[in-house]
Amino acid sequence: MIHRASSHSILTLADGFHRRQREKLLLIWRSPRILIGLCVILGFLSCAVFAPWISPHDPLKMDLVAKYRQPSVEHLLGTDYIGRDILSRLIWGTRVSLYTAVFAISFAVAIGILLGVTGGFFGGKVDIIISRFVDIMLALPAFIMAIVLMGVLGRGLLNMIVAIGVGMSPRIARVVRGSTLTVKENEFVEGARSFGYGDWRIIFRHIIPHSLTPVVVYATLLLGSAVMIEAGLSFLGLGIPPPTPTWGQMVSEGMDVMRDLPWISTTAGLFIVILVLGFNLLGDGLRDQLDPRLRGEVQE
Amino acid sequence: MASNSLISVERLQVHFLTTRGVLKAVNNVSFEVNKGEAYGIVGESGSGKSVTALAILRILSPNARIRSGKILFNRRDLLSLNDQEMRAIRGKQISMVFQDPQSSLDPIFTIANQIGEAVSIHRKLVPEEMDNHITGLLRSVGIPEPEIRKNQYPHQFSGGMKQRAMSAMSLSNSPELIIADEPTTSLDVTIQAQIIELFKNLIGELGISILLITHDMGLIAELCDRVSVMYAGYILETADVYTLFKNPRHPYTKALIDSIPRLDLDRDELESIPGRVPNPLDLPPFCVFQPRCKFATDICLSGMPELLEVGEGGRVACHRAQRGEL
Repeated sequence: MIHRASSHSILTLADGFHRRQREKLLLIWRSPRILIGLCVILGFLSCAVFAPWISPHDPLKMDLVAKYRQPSVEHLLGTDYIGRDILSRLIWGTRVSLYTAVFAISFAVAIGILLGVTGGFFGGKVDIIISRFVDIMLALPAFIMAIVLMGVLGRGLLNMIVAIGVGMSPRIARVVRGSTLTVKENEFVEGARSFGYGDWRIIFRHIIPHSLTPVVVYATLLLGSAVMIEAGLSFLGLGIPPPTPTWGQMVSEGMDVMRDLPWISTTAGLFIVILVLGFNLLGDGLRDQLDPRLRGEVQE
Repeated sequence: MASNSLISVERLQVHFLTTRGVLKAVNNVSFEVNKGEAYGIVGESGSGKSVTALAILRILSPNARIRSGKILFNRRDLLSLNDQEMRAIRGKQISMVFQDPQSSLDPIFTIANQIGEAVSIHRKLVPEEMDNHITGLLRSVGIPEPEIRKNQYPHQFSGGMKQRAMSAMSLSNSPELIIADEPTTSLDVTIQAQIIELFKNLIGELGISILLITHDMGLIAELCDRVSVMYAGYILETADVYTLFKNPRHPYTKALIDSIPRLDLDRDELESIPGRVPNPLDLPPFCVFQPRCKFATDICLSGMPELLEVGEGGRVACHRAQRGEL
């Protein structure tokens, strides 16, 4: 009798919980920032995926006779200094930007989590060494660090991913260290120990999953920065070597003819701005929705 | 008697290194839990009872030092094992139930997931076996509809249900000893009664030994066979539960029992013990209870008394009781 009564009330409670979960999910969809951010990113993502089918021309095909063409039906955004179709190069350039940003940040997240969790969980000397190292890394702007690393490693996609990832990892490390310090005080961590879990098992089972929310938010925001750094490196000629189309390189190429053919630099620049904006909107929106301290304000 | 002993703690001494000095949390504590026995350690907050429990599993915080003593579990000294050997014992032979079921389950995983993990540390089961094992465990601790409930999250469980789930988890590898650290403190009275019933069944049906850590004399009377009373890191009295309640010999035990509210006596006020627990950073060099003891005489200032056999079936750490004066 008692069992039935109590299980009934629990089930009602559980229903209430599921309703709240659904509402939370709806709230995410209702948040215009997340929605716009997602649309922008999905737009660019489909550009990258379907580039071979949607781009009107081969982005690498030169036509020295048709160089610096004005926009026309044939070439919607005109052609560049060796007659390549600018719109097609913009579309293909999405691939490099997204690819670099996503892999560089994944790399940064992997290293950052490892550093942050090790320092925060084990504490003591390990923590002091890692934290000071992270502080030193944070003192250098990620862009400067990326330039230095590209100078050392040489140009190329993989090197660029490493260079940007290394520069971003200390930021993730700091966030993860902070949440590790909070999570490890939970009684379920002590409980896990009493069941014979080893340190690393506790880290992977309990500490990292609990730290993921801030990491997801922060990594989304960093994706925007990664796109900018990639564009910056390409602009400076430190990125992926030509002829692979990249936005930063296109901005740089358009600079010479800025007065007569301003759309070459500006369209490439606009693409960079919109993609970065998309990531930032998504990151901001996610932070507001996932941070319990801010959630109340959003609902008002 | 020795052959029946499951775990025997001998002269255990645990200190914490703090910025304000050495905190003597557990001093010369000795007791023995037999197979199939429910043993109680009772004491107020800060008396060192939880530290004793954590020391057995060696999951004390990093600033704790086990200064001396032995913890013989099945005649193996747990203090001499390396980390890997110790991990193999935790959760497998000795498991623990914590005070607050609210926070001792991880909120982001299902109950089945967490119990499954606790099992898989010590043995490999195929998914189907694991599923049955988890359902069986939850059923054995009295969780209704275990097939449904096991896939729910901790917040979908009430406090009592969570404590049952924790108990199921601690039972998951058929341990020989369960250490229950204030298992009913955060539950309301009717749920407490259900959990006590559950523990009684565990002892009766499965023959598991239980080391119950509590400040609740009622719980001790309900569940335990033998009891140790702890105060300021020392065991002041050890006796079987009937002797302890009927004929307490240490003045502290007497005062404790007198301070339990009783329905059969007409009293307006509850008895209380004057004074405060001594600061564990600065324990007196004499009997730790002397400052609050109404029977104290000069002899009580001659060092902390040893825990010695006095009369039948009980040991007392009191100078005057040992001389037969009390």
